[in-house]
Amino acid sequence: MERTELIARLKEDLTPVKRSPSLTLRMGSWMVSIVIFGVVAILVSQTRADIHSVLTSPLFLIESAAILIAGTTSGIIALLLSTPGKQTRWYSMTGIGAITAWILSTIVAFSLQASDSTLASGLSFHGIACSQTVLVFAVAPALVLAALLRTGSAVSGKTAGALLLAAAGMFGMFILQFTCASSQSLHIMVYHLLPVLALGALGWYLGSYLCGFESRLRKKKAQILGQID
Amino acid sequence: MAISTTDQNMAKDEREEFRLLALKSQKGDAEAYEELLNHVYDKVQRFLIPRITSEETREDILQDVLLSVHVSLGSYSGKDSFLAWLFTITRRRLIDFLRKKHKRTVEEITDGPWFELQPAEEEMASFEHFLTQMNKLPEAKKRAVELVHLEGKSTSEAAELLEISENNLRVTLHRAVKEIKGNLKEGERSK
Repeated sequence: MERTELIARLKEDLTPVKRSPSLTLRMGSWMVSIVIFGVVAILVSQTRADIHSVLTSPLFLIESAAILIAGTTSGIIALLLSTPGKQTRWYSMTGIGAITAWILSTIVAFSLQASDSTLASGLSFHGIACSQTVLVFAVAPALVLAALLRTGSAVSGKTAGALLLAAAGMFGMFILQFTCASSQSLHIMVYHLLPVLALGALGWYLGSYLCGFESRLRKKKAQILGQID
Repeated sequence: MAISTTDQNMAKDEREEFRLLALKSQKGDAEAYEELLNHVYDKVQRFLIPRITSEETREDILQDVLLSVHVSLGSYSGKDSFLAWLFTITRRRLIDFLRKKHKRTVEEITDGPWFELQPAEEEMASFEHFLTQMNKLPEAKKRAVELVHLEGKSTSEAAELLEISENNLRVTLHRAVKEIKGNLKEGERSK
């Protein structure tokens, strides 16, 4: 379509726009919702029998803090991506730092635990219940974050979608820190972490639909140009 | 290459003009919106010309960008740089468009010295400095950079056009980009 005609059509289609809620408000809402969901999740779940002793373990505290920070910053970066022009560098470095800390603590724990019997028990099929728990506890944060993302314009839909579901999954993983009795690194990597990675991959694939920008663009394109991609 | 004070002031005025037009457009001011879209079109076209040689492809991307601006207008906060907002959208739509139509990887498209992580607005300014330095290169190096980094040719295609080996091309490119970056850094230091 010619420049003048396109601009004329867009001008004709213009109505006063409702500005997206401020980034600060959306980030605050995300963090508040995480706290609320966390409290509710821990109250409704049965905490692990050894909770009092693990709470004094530095490795446990590092792992839990790292998962929480990584999950929170993933959600924040997704929100930043829904506001074109915002820099994600600082949060990306924080998230990467947290993930690195978690990986290192997991490797340390694994090296301390490694033996044939721990490998076998770490991969026990009963661990599948933990994966299900990750997915169940990911639902509420995913819905909240998706709703917050849809109020913006996530032009990098795939990345935002991956971060959305990974953040939600990490929340589930964080809750499991307090409810899953297994401290075996292999169990954590297979039954806690893998669902998070799977959610991230799913989010990448579905990102355009989850974040809403692409569907709004497609509808507007069809309306203005009479074209469908 | 130093940026003069006059140029800096003009850039500030332009940024403020874009910001005000965007705010008026958000309130439904059709005339302001038309003016904004025309400025956006000119700005983005200038950004695309060195990257996309096909006029038809450029027009398609421009159309995509304008529609994206139209759909995303509510996401502009009014406080931050409109150009940073615009160029984030532009860069993303460019990558998505080329990926879809030409099945090229993001690395092939963004593997240029100016695509390193920087705010979109700075990217535009540094890209223009990049072009200035590129045009000062000896013809062989300049042509190599143009073919690979501006026209998006693969190294094998560019080597064939230049009638040199791929290895030779890679070495030429490496030296050319190093020279440009060195000149850009010298320009920064002398500011």
